[in-house]
Amino acid sequence: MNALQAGVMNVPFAPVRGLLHTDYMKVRPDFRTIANPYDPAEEIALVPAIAPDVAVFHGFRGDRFGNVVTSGTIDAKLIAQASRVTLASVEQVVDGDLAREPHTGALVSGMHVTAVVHAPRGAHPTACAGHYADDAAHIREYVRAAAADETFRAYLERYVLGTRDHRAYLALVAEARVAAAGRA
Amino acid sequence: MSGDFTAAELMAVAIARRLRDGETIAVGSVSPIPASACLLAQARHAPSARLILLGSPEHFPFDGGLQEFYNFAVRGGLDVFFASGAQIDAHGNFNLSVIGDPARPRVRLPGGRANGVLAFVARRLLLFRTEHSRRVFVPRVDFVTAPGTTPPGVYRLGGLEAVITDLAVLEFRREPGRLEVGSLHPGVTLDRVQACTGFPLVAPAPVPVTPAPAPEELALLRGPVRERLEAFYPEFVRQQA
Repeated sequence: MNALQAGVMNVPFAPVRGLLHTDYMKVRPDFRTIANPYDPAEEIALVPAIAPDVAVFHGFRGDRFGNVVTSGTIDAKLIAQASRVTLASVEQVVDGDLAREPHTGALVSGMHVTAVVHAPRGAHPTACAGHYADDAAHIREYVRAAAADETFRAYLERYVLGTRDHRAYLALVAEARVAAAGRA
Repeated sequence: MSGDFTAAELMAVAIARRLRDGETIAVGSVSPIPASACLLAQARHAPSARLILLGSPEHFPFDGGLQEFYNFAVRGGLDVFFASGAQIDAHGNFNLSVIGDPARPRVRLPGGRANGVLAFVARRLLLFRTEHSRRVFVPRVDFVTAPGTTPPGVYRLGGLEAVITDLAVLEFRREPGRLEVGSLHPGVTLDRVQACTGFPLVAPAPVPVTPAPAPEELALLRGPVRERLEAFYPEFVRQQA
């Protein structure tokens, strides 16, 4: 969180409360400990800024100005501001100007968004609040596949590389669900 | 489990009784038992408790995302925070990060790093685990997501208070920095808890028994609490029914 915040502010690192004496400080040589310059008796952890080249998030609604309304709990505003390029997929594209309409959730300003893509069910297999729940069976399938390189390659081949577009992916997922229901 | 209640209900009641009126309490995601404990406490003895239940839009009082919650917590906003623990050791260190060698983990767990911060800033950290076993209670955690104790000079507003499991309540004594048996759940022997724990346990004699849920608490859990929980933990509520 602090690292993304540093990215948003275009500074190279951020001090963080906590982390000291955890094993994160051992496995991440880029996490540093310094004496607080304003109170040298105190040690404080530093983490490098995260400023992604590209960020992708999913929202409820988007408009022609790049404004996107999304869940208030996913920190889309933060990643959109920290990243150089930000792509949003949305359940629905609307005609008006979302920045001038009342909304529930968080409004990510079009100033931070590079492109908006209309992709209903674009959060699949995860949930989209108020629209659909997560697809627990598919997530289990993914977890099983991710256990080994070979099965993961097969998953990617089947669902990602082997599907022509988002619509084909959704059709394949629906087909898999029907097949699973038939077996049950 | 003896009596007419489930292990989950006993855990929820044991947790709820630790929560105080007026406290600000946060529960992470995938934590239906602490969430039900919070709702129970609020319905019973803690009407002014302020609840932040991640995963429930109704109980997330911020519109600035997890960042706003996190900043609130880091400034000392939380009286109580709940986490689970994939591994917990005698010294109150817990691991929610990786199982196995950190360089080549067998299992990588989600959401560990936030606990590396929240465990320092919540005044009372309560861990819960529905599986009291040697797999969980290990002599030494594979990875310290947050330490039980920290040397003086480290900014720490609070720390681990207790671990609630399906067999017992383990209390963390900051001096000498170790987990000890606080109480055994009804029908559970100390031998059994020791057999399921990978480090030697100290216990008071006689060992207290975790009080069984009162009929009023069970009625609340099975009525209004279940109804509210169903909105954000539908699968858990189905399994409990």
